[in-house]
Amino acid sequence: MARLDERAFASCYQHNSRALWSYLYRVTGRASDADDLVQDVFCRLLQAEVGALADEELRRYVFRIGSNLLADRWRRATQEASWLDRLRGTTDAHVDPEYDDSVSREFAALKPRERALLWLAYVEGESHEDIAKALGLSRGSIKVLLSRARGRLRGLLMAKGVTARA
Amino acid sequence: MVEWLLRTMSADDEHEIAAYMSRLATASPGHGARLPAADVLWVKAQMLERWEAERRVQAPLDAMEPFQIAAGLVAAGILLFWSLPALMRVIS
Repeated sequence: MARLDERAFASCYQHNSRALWSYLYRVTGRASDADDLVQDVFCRLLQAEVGALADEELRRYVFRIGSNLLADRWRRATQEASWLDRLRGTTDAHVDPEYDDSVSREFAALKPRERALLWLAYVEGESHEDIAKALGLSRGSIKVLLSRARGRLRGLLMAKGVTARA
Repeated sequence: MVEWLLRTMSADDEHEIAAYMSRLATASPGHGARLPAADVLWVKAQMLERWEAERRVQAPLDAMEPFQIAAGLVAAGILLFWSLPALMRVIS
């Protein structure tokens, strides 16, 4: 299988970069992180032999790379946080001030993995199998984790008196 | 707990969450994305790949560098040891 040529890459970037950025921004809560991650994703995409993939498969592949990079970042953040915990007794949960707006406040209160699950399921409309591949989880666990994330979001929406139909 | 959630999640709840996620997807973040143009990213990716290839080629040389230095020091020591009597004669 060949790599993407420049024209195919430009087309893929044009079609998927904004959607990918939104996903990464909503999961990380930081615009600068999302900017960096999008660049990393597309640089990695160019090293992969994906030239024969159809547009939809390519989009899923791009989101899978993004989710893998997010998982790496969480692992590193957890390790660093444990060191910070030991040193200072606290951790920095740093998100952009703009992130915590009236629409996204409840979403921001979820765990990053829950945010990723809900985004991939509802916004990207991905199947449980594709979500499992993207997040490196078993297919069987997705239904349970997704239900749990839905339940948490529903609880947050109810607690804040936010109704989607209001 | 999970089974309870599955049982109690009604179609209305599902609809509300779907509608909320839809609103979230369309809500634009305050500052927006700062992404480079595709051609800029293409050049960046090519450069990164070239640097990575150079790093791979250079890696064995870098790994051997301490051995080169050690071998040089040993050779200098041996040379000094052999030439020390002659050197002493010249000095005296």
